[in-house]
Amino acid sequence: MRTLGPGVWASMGESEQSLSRRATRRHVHAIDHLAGVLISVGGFLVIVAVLGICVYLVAEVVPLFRGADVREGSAASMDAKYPRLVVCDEYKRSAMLVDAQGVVSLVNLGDGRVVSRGTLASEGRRVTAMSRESSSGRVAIGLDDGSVRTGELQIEGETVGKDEVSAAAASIEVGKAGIVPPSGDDVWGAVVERISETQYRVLKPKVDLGEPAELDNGTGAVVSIDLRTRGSDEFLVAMREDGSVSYELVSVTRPLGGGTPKTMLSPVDVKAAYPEGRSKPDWVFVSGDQNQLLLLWRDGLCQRYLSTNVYEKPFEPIETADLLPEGSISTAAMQLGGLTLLLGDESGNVHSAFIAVDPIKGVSDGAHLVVGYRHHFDDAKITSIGVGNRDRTVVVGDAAGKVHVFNPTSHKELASGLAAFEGEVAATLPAPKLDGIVAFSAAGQYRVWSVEMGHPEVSVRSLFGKLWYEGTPEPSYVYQSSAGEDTSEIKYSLVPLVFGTIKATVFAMLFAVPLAVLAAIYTSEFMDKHVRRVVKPTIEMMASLPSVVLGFVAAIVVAPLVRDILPMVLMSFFVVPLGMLVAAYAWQLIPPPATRKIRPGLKLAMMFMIAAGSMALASSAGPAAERAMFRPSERERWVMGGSYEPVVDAERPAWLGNLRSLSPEQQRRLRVENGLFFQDGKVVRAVEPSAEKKAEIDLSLASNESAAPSIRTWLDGGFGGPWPGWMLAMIGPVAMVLSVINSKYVSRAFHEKLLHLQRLTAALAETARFVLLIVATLGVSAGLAALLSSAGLDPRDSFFGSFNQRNTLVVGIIMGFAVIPIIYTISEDALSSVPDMLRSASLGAGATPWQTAVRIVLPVAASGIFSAVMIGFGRAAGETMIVVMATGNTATMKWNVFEGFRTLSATIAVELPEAPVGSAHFRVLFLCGLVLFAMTFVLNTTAEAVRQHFRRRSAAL
Amino acid sequence: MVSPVESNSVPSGRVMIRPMAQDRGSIPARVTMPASGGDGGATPQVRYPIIDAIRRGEAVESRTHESVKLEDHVLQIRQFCLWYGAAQALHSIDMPVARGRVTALIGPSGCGKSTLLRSVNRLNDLIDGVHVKGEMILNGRPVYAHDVDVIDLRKRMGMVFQKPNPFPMSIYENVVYPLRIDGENRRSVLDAACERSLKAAAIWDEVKDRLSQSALGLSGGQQQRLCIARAIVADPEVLLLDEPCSALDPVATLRIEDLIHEISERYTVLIVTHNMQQAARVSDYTAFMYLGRLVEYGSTADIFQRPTLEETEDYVSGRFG
Ligand SMILES: Nc1ncnc2c1ncn2[C@@H]1O[C@H](COP(=O)(O)OP(=O)(O)OP(=O)(O)O)[C@@H](O)[C@H]1O
Ligand SMILES: [Mg+2]
Repeated sequence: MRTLGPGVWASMGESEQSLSRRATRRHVHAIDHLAGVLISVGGFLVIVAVLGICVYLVAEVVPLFRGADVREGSAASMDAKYPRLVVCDEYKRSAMLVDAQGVVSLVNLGDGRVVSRGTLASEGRRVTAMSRESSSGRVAIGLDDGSVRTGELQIEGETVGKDEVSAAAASIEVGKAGIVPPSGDDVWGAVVERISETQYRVLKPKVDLGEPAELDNGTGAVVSIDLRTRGSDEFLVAMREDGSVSYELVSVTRPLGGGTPKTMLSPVDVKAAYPEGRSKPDWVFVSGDQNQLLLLWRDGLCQRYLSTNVYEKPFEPIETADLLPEGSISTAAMQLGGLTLLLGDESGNVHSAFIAVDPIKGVSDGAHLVVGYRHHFDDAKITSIGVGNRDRTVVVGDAAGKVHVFNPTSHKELASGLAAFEGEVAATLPAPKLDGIVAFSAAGQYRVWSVEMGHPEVSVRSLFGKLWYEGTPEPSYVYQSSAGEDTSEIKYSLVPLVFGTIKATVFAMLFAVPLAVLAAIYTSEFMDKHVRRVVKPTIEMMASLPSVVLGFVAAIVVAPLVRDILPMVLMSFFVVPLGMLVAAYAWQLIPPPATRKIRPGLKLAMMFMIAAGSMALASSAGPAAERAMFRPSERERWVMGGSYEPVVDAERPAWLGNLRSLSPEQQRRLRVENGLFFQDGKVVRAVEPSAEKKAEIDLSLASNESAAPSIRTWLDGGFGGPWPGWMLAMIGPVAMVLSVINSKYVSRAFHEKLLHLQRLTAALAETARFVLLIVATLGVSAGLAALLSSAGLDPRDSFFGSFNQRNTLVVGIIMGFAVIPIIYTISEDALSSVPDMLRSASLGAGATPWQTAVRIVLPVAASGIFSAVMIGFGRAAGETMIVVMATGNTATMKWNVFEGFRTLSATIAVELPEAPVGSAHFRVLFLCGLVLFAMTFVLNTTAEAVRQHFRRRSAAL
Repeated sequence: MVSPVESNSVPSGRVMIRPMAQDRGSIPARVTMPASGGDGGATPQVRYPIIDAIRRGEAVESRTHESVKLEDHVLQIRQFCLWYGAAQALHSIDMPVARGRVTALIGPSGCGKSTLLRSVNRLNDLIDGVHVKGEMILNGRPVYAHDVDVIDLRKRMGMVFQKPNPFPMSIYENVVYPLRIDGENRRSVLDAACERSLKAAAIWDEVKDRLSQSALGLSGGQQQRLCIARAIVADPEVLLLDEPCSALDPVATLRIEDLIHEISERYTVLIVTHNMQQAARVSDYTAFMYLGRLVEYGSTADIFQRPTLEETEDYVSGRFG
């Protein structure tokens, strides 16, 4: 060893002094401390912010699930008994009670004093039936002589100044109400509430009835009547003592200069024919859509009459249904909107019955009566059902004197068992502003509650469960936040939105993950370093494309393009990977010295050329395959050409029921399952045409768009059986399974044989095997497709279906492009950070780069790649703009690739600006946000758990 | 200073020189080391003309003893130069490697030993910006020719790296990896090969009960022996060892040296070592490198006892370096 020279020691000696001075300086400590504090404060703030957002979301959402908040109001006895019909003013200060004789009493709800009385009957007649539509305040009165009156029955409020009220009211304390007795012209008097020192609210009945008008047919008093309005139309159904039913279109004319308005009735013929053994019904109702009558018997039997056009056609019985298999109806009311009957029975149930449109189960008009929902309250008989005038919340009173509030649409019970009276509840109704309940007993008591209803239309059930909505064939998940009319049901099921989110994410990931991860593997493991330095930033730059631009491009460019060249697009999914594989095999055939001379950049360019060539191939192969596979069968051509004969009714398949018109799906089912066709409203069978006729058909179909081979017509169910679709769907999975089998079992045996062969021969043998694999794939797919078709399954019922321009395929591709850069970048980083030592070890052991990548690099980088995929997942799940712009935003629940969807995020983006703050809609949108948050949270947490599992394996690196 | 005497002695059979296994209580030297430090630090004035020339960047001719040239050569390295980007790491190396012998590469840190070793199985190809000149001929076939199947080339060699680099998988899978990639999946074959090479690498007893556990849980020395087991599992023709024993204790080192003896009866071994005694013990030939150049190359006995250059003599005796 060479000893250190004296100089070295000398310098060491010098540094000894500096050693003694070695001490961490104070400001370094300070900075250390400061950094520590800053970091903890920052981290804490982040946690607080996230929690804060969470808490805010939850706080906005919680009121959705609360019941009603009920406070007792006034209660007293009054001198008005047996109410049959009640009207309450908007401020719950006064009520109008109408008894069975049509005597109207105006009551001050503060103390129960009757202000005044009047009658709904006209001179010399007696009231025998009445009905009021709460949403419009219109009433119909049936009289004992068989005439009817219609008109308005309301309490109107008016705010007036101090000097406009009568002296009797002037002394009322602020916040209290008093009465103004009738005097002179003012036959009704009023209930007056003093709002402030100077302002009073005068609540006056508005009883504006027309002249009685005679019903044309039948005899005796009117025993049951029901009136409904629709826009400016008014119509009623009335039944007389002899059981005759009349439907009348009502028009009211007001004489010039005032006076009693005139009621004009124009009858529509009702071809009444009661079901066997029945006498006249107990209730009659007319539906809100104007063209159906419902006759209801106490035991639950309901007969439905239909007139498809009341101006031309008479009402005819179309269906009789037993709505109540056991028990009997005690009270019935028409729900807001006039399409749902609410039936209260003797044992405390309220049934909601409506006409469900169901072409298959329905009767000849493709609809039938069903009970969609049944709610049980206490066991006492339901004695009164009060329907709201602005939403579907209903108040129910029972024989035990209890009052319940519930919403038959959302199934939400807002309040139940509110004790009102000792005896039965004779009448009850929600206050017009839905801020209270008023109940009346038969014995002349009343009780008022003020109620904060919250959000009756939203319940856990309505958000996440299936509900049977009015008019629909079966319970379903529907999201429809904005209804056409105020009276329609609002449908807030989040399930279709969650489904849409999942569908969008799944398809985007299906497209993006393989591409991005494979690209990352390729760049990090195989690509020349120089080329890589260009490629990586280029792909990363894709991430900077704003998603709104991508969405725009998707909607304006890609969607129409995909529609026009659909066969090519579908074909390229097969041809491009295949082209790459073929090129790889061809590469093996080139002698190695030749391939080694090729520069890496050129190699990449060649790959692009192969991809482009494959595309070009797909553009001709796609339409060719379309012509070969997606074409009408010969029989279908015959029928299209007019060569068919109708089948007798006995041959008509049972599932068709009484259907007169079939949807494309039903027509497809008829063709595929029964081999029959549907032409001009009739079920027909194809007839083999004569030779000349055949030529004629060929000629006429040559120019017929709908007979031309087309995958889109096939998707829409225009023609063709399920086979081609199955074939299309099967090739991918079958190819994958076969190649796995091939590499696992066949390859090994094959390889041992190959070892003895010449290089070129071996490569040729490999290529032959590859070709064989392709042929096998096609064969197996065709066989499987045939099997599935013969099992009666059609892909058009599940992941295929009618074609929509803005569909999942387009969104999947474009959203895939949005997430590819991020998945690619993070995966590439993960792969590149695998220590080169491991690569050297593997390559040094004689592994190929591919083996090294798959066996060593990928497992080590797995956690990073997994994170990348999860981040991509999160991005896809929350992606908004692309989805908003490129899907139809229809909240369907089908996996159909060629149809759109609606995601949670798109819903929030589109609807939040329109939702009034604090409304149920607003809160539901917050819930959407919360659900989205929960979804990504669960996803990320599981992802993290999985990632940790991967990480543990490579932790020691 | 420079001895003009060329040694003509052919290395005698190692069996004779190698100490018997039983008398390995102390570390035996294969050849006696020149007495070192006799005159302590009293020779600071020795001058090394060749080293100085190399330091100045001048080309020098390496001294290759005749004894080397008489051997049957598995590998011929001719005028081999290697650049890392612009920096040249190897300068015109001329070095025949004898078949079925152990050749040791010695030289101060950074002189290019690892680089030369990695050039043999073309692992340097992976490093960005590496380019080479000259040729390397393995069994009569050029290593750097265009039509060489690099994968196949590497399959015929085993390599142990300076730093242990086990794969993040089980001990068992680590060892049988080279067989797995060749498509060998028969459990019995793999089991036998695994046991054989783990025993040869002197680690079997330590790991035989934990073969399915992660290799990353082993100590550094154990990992290195595992890598040795991995390198020999596929019966390589040439074994490239880059300081295989630098992380090992003396007993394990001896076991590895034994292994090298065993394997070199059938195969060629190229070993880099900083341990002169090890070089003396295990190798038949020794090459002394300095700053990317081959300085002196001859039979181990000659290099350690009768080097032609004073530089070599001083280096092997630890007086310089
Ligand atoms: N990947 C690389 N890139 C650039 N230069 C390198 C690289 N690897 C090694 N070198 C340089 O090449 C020279 C030779 O390195 P090499 O690793 O072969 O030395 P060595 O003789 O093995 O040293 P040691 O005994 O310390 O392992 C050194 O100067 C080193 O800095
Ligand atoms: Mg080294």
